[in-house]
Amino acid sequence: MLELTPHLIGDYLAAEVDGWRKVSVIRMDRLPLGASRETYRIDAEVSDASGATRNEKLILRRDPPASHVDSDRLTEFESYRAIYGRGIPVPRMIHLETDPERLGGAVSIAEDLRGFHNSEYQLQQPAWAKFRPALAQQMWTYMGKLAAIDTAGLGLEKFMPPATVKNASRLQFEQWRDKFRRDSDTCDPILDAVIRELQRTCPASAKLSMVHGDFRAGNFLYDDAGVIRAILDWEMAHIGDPHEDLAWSLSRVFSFGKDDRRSGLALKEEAISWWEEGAGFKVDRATLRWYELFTDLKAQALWTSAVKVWKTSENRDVILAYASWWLQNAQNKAMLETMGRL
Amino acid sequence: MRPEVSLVLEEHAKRLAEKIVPQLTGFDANSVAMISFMLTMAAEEFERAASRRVEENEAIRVIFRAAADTVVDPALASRLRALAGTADKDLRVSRLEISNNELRGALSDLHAHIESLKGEGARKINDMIWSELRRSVERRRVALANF
Repeated sequence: MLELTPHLIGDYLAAEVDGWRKVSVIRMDRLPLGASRETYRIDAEVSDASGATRNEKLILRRDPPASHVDSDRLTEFESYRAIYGRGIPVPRMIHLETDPERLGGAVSIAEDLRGFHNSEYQLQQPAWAKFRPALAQQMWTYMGKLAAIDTAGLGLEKFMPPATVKNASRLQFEQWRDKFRRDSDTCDPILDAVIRELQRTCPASAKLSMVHGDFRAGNFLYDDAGVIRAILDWEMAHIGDPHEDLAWSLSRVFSFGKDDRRSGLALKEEAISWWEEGAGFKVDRATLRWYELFTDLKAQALWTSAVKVWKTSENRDVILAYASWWLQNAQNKAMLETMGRL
Repeated sequence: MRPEVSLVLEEHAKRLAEKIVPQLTGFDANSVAMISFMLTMAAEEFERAASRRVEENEAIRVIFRAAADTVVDPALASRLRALAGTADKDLRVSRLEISNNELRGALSDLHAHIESLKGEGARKINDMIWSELRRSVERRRVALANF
C-alpha cells in the first residue's frame, strides 16, 4: 500500500486544493483513531497565489484497501458538509479525493480542531467525573437536535441511498443482516434469534432524519471544561429513523465505565430525556426497543466483519482483531438483555 | 519446571503495558497497548479453550435428545438425532470448534423450528435453548470486556 509521506502529501495538496500554490508539510503523524479508516494529523505551511503564507492544521482520512465499514470518503465528506452550520458542531471540510490511485485510497482533508480530547476511557478517570453529566447532556441533546433537523434542505439524496418512513427500518435491517451473513464464518444462534424477531417486527417511522450511524462517546471532541467541540466519524451516516442513533448510543457494549451508564456517561432514562429535549418530540418506546435490537445486529455485523478484514486482507491493524475478540461475546450478552433473556 | 502458556502470555502482556507502551506515543502506543490486552485475553482463552467447547457441545447434544419427540420436521429430527449421537474424540481446539459450529448451527435451526410450534413441549425446549444460550455467553466471557 502506498506510504503517505510529507513530500507526497505536500505536492498533492499544492496541485489539488483550490487556491493553494505551495504546501510544505512540516509534521505528519498517524493518530490512533477508529478502526475503519487511517487518520493523520498534519501541520502544513501553505502559500496562496499572492505569495502569502499561513499555517494550516489538517486532518487527513484515508480509506484502507479493506475495511469492515462499507462506506466511502464521499459519504463522510458530504455528510460533514451537509450538517456544517446547522447547530451540530463539526469540523470544516477542505478537500475530497475519490480516486484511490492518487494517494493509495480515497482521501478527505479537513480542518484539525486542536487541543481537544476524544478518549471515551479518559472520561472514566476520577478527574473527569465532574464533567460527565454536562457532557452527557450535550451529547444526547445534540443527538436530539440532529433528529429534529428537516432532511429536506440537506441535499442528502445526492449521496445517500433513499429511504421512506415505510421502508427505513427494513432497509437498514436487510443491509446489516446481509453483511453479517456475508462476512461471518461461524454460527451465532443468539443473533439468529435477534434476526428473526427484527424481521417479524420492522416498524414504520414517524419521521426521517439524518442518522449519524456511530453517535457515542469516543466520537466527539471535548475541551478541558467539558464542552463538546465537534461530533466526528460520520462515515456511516444515512437517511433513517431518528431512534436509530439513540438506540446505538445506549448500547451496553459502549458502557465504558463497565456499569449501567451508557456511553460511560449517563443512565438510560437520563439520556432519553435529554434526547427528547433536543429533538422536541417524545421517544416511541416500541420503536426504540426495535432499534436497540437492530443495534445488536449492526454492531455484531461490524465486529464480525472487522475480524474477517483482519484475517483475509492486507489490513492487519491491531484494533480490528482486538475489538472483535471481546466485542462479539459482549454483544451477544447485550442481545440477551435486550430480549429479556439475560 | 516449565513456563506455562498462560503465565508466559500474562507476563509478556504486563511487560508490554508497563515497560514498552510508556516509551511510545500516538498510534504505536495504542497498537502495542492493544497487543498487550490481546495477550491477556489469549491467556484467559488458552486455559478454557478445549473445556468450554467440550462442555457446550455436550450441553447442545442434551437439548437435541430432549427435543426428539417435539420436533415435527422429519429432516430436522433426523439431523438432530445424528448430531446427538456424536462425541468429541479429537480434543484439538480447531476440531472442537468445527463440531461446535455444526452443533450451534443445528441449535439455531431447532430454535427457529420450536418458535413456530405451540404447546408445553415446545415451550420447554425453548426455555432449554435460551438457558443454554445464556450459559454460552458466560463460557465466552472476556474479563476485560465492558459488558
